[in-house]
Amino acid sequence: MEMSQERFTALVVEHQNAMYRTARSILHTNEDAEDAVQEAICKAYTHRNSLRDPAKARTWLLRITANTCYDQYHKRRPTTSLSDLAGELPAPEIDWAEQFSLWEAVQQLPDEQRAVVTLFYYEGLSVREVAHILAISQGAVRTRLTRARARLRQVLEP
Amino acid sequence: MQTAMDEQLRALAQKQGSPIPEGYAEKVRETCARLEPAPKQPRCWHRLGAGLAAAAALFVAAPNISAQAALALGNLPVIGQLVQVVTFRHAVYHTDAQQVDLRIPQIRQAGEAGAQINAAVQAEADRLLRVFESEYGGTSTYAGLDIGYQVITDHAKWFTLRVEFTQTTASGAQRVQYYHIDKQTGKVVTLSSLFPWKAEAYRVLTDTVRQQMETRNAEDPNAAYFPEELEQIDPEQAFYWNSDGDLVLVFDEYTVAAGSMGISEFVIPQDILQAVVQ
Repeated sequence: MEMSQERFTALVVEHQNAMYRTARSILHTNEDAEDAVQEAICKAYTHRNSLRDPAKARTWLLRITANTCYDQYHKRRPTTSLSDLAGELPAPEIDWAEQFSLWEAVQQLPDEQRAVVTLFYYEGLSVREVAHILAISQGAVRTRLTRARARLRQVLEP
Repeated sequence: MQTAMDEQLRALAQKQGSPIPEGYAEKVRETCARLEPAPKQPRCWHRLGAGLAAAAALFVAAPNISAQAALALGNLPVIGQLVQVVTFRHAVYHTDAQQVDLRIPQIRQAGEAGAQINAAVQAEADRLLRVFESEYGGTSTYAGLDIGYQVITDHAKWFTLRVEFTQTTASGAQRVQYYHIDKQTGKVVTLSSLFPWKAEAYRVLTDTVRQQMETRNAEDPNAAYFPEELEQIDPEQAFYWNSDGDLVLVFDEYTVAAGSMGISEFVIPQDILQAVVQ
């Protein structure tokens, strides 16, 4: 049976903050993240009948959100892929003299680490689920988490 | 395995939370409210950039021949060895931000089956163009719509036409439809009418595709198929016969794989196919 608009809306509202955090962890401005979420909502609605198990709605919505964000990211940087950037551009050193919240510290992580950290710590997802959403290997998830922890350690130990 | 630091970071994330922009929830509600219940392509709200200007539209439609004349030419009781496919309608629309390029096929000399397919393709093209013009006409939103086609198979017994519908906004969405004619019966063929399937056929086909997804995921770290998303092969699933004579099942973007994977295709081995056909 086709999912109704009302049911779909309820699912989106339930996970809207997770969608925004995911988008914001990939894109660099609040406005871009909001745009991406709205685009993702439209795409998810188009393919709503592919969601067979409502219990998987969150990972399903976050996967579509991540894909939409990466499409936007590539659209604006046609000559360089996200994966090419990762590891090439030196990440700015965090000035730990200033007291950061965890979220502020996460925003200063390299591009490739932010989404993984957001999904793993803020959304409480497993390594497998994070890999599924971001379409990367579980090994890549673990590597990025390890690198991110080294930077985030100082948030816990100021 | 969760480390102590992982637990600390998760607890801190839950405690401190993250900032959500003011007005975001309202935008989500508005977006959901604009979703139309029925059509495949919902209306989407896009943030309009500053400096909107009316764009000059250049719209050129060059129909080759009327639909009635095309059907009259092709009104034969038996479908001949060669089916003709012409570009019935070539529409081009171009502005600085938007581009529409439609090549609508018209099948000739394929009787009622050809007419049936022509009507289906034309209806879908008209619908997409109406949606596009209402959404983006007169705006500076970057968007594109492309429709094209390719004859995949045309021999004594079989004809297959592939039509691609590609919409581009901030990201692309591509859909493919395959239309088949069995020349021996003169009828349009779908997966469900392709064979006298055994009762367990769709389950076997589903398992075969899932296994291929899992294999691809295991062999390629960049692959992102979702076998758990495939509950069962649809009796109207898109398909075609490849040059080796194998049945290929086709899935649109986002249905069984990450969007980055594009349209997904899976070959059904002939021994498996033979086992599920009565």
